[in-house]
Amino acid sequence: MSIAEARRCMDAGAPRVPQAHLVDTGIGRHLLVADGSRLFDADDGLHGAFADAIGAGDAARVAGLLRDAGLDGAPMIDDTPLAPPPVRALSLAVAQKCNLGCTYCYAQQGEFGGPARSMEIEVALRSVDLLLAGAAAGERYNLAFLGGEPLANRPVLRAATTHAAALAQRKDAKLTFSVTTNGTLLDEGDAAFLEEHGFAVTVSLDGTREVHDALRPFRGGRGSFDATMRRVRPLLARQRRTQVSARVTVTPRNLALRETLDAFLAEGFHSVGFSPMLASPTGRDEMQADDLEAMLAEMIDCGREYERRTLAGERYAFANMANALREIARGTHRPYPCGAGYLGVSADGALSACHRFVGDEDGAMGDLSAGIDDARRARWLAERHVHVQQPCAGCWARYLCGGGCHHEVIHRGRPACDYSRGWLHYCLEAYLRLSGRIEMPA
Amino acid sequence: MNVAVMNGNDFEGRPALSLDSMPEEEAADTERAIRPVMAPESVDTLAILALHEQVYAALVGGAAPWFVDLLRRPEEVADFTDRGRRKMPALMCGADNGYLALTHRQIDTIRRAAAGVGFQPATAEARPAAPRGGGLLPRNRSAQLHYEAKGNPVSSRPVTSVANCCPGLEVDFRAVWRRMLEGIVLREHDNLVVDVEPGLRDEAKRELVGHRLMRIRLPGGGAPILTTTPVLGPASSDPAGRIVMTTDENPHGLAAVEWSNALARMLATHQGKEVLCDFSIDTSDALEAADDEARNFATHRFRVRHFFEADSAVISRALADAGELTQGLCSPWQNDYRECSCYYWASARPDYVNVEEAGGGLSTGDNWFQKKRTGRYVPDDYADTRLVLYDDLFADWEKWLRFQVSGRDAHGEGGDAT
Repeated sequence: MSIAEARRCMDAGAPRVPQAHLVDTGIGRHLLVADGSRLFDADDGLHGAFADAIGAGDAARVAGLLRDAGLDGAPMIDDTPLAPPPVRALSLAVAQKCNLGCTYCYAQQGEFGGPARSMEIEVALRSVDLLLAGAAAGERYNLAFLGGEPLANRPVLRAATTHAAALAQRKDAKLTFSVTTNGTLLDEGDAAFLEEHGFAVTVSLDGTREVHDALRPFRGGRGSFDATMRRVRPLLARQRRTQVSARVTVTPRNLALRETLDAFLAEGFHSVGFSPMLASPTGRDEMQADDLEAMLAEMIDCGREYERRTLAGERYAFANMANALREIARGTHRPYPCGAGYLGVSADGALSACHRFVGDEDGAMGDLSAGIDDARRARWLAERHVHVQQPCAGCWARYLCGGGCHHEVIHRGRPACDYSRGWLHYCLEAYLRLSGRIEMPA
Repeated sequence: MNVAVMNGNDFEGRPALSLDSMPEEEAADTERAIRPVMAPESVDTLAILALHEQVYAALVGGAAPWFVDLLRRPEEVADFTDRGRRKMPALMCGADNGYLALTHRQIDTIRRAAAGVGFQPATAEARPAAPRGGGLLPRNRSAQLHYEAKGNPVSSRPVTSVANCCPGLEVDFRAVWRRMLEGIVLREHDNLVVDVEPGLRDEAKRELVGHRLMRIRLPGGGAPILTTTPVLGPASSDPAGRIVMTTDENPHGLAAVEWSNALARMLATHQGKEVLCDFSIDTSDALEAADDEARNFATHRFRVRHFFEADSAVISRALADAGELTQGLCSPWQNDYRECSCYYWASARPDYVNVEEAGGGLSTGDNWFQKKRTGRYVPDDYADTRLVLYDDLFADWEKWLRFQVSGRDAHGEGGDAT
């Protein structure tokens, strides 16, 4: 897929008015109303009227057209920030240390700029108790393990898991587990343990051997690809309750996404997802505008293959595409990019807005001793609401995107908006193509 | 729903004829002995629920809908033979005391799905084009859920509806068919001509009041549309045989066919065009059906009205004057609501709640209208003081109509609310 296609999607996705966005798939003309992420086929007359108004950047005229079409009314998302919801997901940084020396790691080799440390078992168990203290029958919870490399502190990971599973069972709550790992420390015992508890396992992999080794070396400089795959393959082979996915951090040095996707799917990963490196602590390997354009071209190439395979009735587990289509089909609309019922716990028991804010005062949310700081959470939710973010308030994609990862935005701003809108524009086209051509099987 | 009661079983010493159910309605209308629909031992609610869950799981898993022949056709709503009564949807009656039937559109959708899975080429059907003028067709879930067709009231959206329409808390949809033929006014629930429109000049047509519209013939439109269907029952000498069931009030043994299904073909092809209508020769209090003897009916031409105002979803103003779609509803609504046990609006008026296994393959639970939750179902009876009475509903319905979540009283709604 060409850079030209990426540019076409970026141009088509450019922000013009905040209320609406137009899509022309060749098989029809379509209108996305930002309020409620509502997607319509539009006839030529109506589409033309919107095109004129949007092309002129005339938000007042667009408002009038929406009113005439009966698409006005009280906004589905207003300026009121979300009240801090109950915490339903925790991630434990059980090991703030790592055996790899990835060039771009937000966690700075797991240590978040501080000394290497491991979470004490007592901290892990108290975290679990905090998560499940008020659990009621049938409620859903998630416990995640991140790092650093969480398997560097295997005993605590296992103890916390066992304790949480027992507690959830006692309360008849539904608890799921997830772990993000570099894979180099996985052993047969881990595979059995992860399978027993139905973990969603995410393995960080950045490409085929040569590319991966350049980006994700051991601390001594040796490549980690072979070691990772040797230890991950038994897990891939025994996926029953576990689902093992690959997550690729995309830098200017590993832009061959289609090749990577096909290689990992051939290895048997349950799904493969890509995420651009937007903010690294040193600035190294961050994606620039040209890189993001190249990445979008590759993403669209993968997406086209997803469309082709889907129409042929085959599974093609390109996670970004599957997620985008699901959200578009639902009409997801939200004022935040991620769930507010989620907190990260650092090795020393500090709570933060997510796993990326470990040791970062910007995202501090209390600690295990003093409890969750709901005042700070409320302030955070007020400050992070997409209506008060700029330039989000004027963007048609704001309720699908939610304003972008808080951590990246705070540390680098929003360098990837054109990329995100271009990708969403392509996904809207793909959704309309696919949903228009497939009859759901009975 | 308490399937055993709906089936026409006796219940804890009370004869089925004293309980409100479709078999009871049917027995009263046809003046014959009440007969349970299925074998009384086979109809416990939890067992039937489990059976349906298995069918649903099979369908979700991709199994073909093999039950097309088990669906009741719209013209079979008065087939009271055992085979006819066991068709789907089962055990529920409409406001006219006939069994319920799905619409032609629904039945055809299932039939096509069954055919499609029969390894025929999976050719996708053409999607409907975006409507002209109005110009929007919702394509994702949020657009569909919030879609309010031009001219429709706010209650037409799923979130604001009470999941009910005929007759219901919002509108009596049957009333919309009364003026489909320009010049005459029909009764909403059968084929009686009740009035003629002021502008009707044709003297012969003006005399039609009190006559019956028995048949509509569509020029070039296939088989004629019949406005009645025979009331059938098992022959007393042969339960597998069928006889027409007549009474003094219904000497021809006929039931009216519900208008929206009966007129579907006419609506599809003849809006704005003329059709041939065959009326009874005489005025008649009873339903009558046409035969082929020309002397037994009088034919008049009528133009079919358009159902919608042009380019919108507004029901044509010519079909219903202001207030007509709601004038048949009870006022206050509690009157309709309290005694309506047609069983077809379970989401707005549940019946059997807090259901649990009670051993022996049987279930136990409460009647939703029971004031005190005892776990022992009290059959519906508007005079039974264990149940919510009319006065209770008038005075305090917010207290007595308790929210249900997954078939149980929602938190804070149950317990002893006396």
